[in-house]
Amino acid sequence: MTLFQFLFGGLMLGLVLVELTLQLSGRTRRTVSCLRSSVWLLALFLILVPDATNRVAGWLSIGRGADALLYCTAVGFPIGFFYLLHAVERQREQITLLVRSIALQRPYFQPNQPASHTTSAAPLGQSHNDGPRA
Amino acid sequence: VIIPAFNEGQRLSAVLQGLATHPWQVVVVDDGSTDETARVAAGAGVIVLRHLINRGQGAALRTGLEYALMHGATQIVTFDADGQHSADDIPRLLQTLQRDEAELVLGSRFLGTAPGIPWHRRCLLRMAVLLTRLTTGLRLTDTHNGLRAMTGPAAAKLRFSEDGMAHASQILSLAARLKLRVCEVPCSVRYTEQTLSKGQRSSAAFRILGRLAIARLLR
Repeated sequence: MTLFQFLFGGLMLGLVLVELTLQLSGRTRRTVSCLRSSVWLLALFLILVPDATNRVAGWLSIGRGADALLYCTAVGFPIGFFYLLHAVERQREQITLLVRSIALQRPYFQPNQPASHTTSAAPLGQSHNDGPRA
Repeated sequence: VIIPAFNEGQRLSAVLQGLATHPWQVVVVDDGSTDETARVAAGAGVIVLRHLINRGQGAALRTGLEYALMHGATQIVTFDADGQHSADDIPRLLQTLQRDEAELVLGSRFLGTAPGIPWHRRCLLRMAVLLTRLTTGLRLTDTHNGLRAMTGPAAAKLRFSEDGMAHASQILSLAARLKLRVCEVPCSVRYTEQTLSKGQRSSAAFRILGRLAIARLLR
C-alpha cells in the first residue's frame, strides 16, 4: 500500500463513516446520504484498486485509466455546471418574484389611501416603523 | 411614469419636482435602498413601492410595470431616477403613442442631445446599437436609454426576466420577437459629475453581455 493510498483511502473511509453516523443519528436525508456515501466508496475503491480504472478504460477502448477519468470529468463538468447555473437562475427568478409580490401587495406609500390600508414593506434589516404611512 | 430607484435619496427629489408640474401618476420603485429614497419619494406624494432587497433596475422596472397594469394604465413611461432625463421630453413620447405610430417609443440621446457624454460611453453605446441591430434587426440609434413609453398591451407582452441592466437589451429583443411597432424620438440626456459618479461604469457592458449569453444558453 502506497502513502497516497494510505492517506486518501483513510480520508474516504473517514467520510463514509461520517455519513454512516449521520444517517444512523437521523441528521441527514437517507437518499442524499446514500448518494454521497456511494461517491466516497467509489473513490475509495479506485484509490485502493488503481488498476480498476485501467481495466474499465480497456473495455471502453480508451487506453489508460487516467484518460478515462479525464473524459468523464470533461463530460461531467459541463453537465454539472449547466445544472447548477440553471438552479441558480431559477432561484434568482423566484426571489425576484417573491420580492415583487410583497412590494405589490404592500405598497410603501399610496396617496389618498387611509392609513389602515397601507402597510409598508421595509428593506431587510430596517424597521417597519421608520417609514411614513399614507 | 415608473421610476426605478436605488439609493437616489439625494437626487430623486429634484426629479420628482420636475415631474410634479405634469398631470401624470408617478410610481417610484425603491429597489431595496439603504438611504432615504423611499421616504423622499413618499414625501413628494407619489406612489412608492419598495423591494425588500436590492434586485436590480430591471426587476424594479418590471415591478412598476406590473403595478401600472394592475391599475389599468394604458400608457406607461419609464424614467431614470438619477436626473439624467428631462420631464419635458415625455409629452413627445406620449404623443407618438397617442398618434398610434408605435407601441413602444424609445428616447434617443443621439437623435436629441447628450451634452457632456464621455467618449468611451458614446463608443460603448454605439457598439450596443450595432449589436442590437445584428441580433434583433431593429434599426435604432440608442438602445440603452431608460426613457421609454409603451402602451398597456405592449407592456403586458414585454415579460422580461433580466433583473439587472441587461433588461434594456431583453426588452428590445422581445419587442422584435413580438413584432411590436418600435420607434425613437429625440430626447436629452444630461451628463453631470453627479450623474456620472453613480451611473453605470463602462465595464457594466461586459456584465450585460455575460448575462445575455447566460440567458441565451438557458432559454
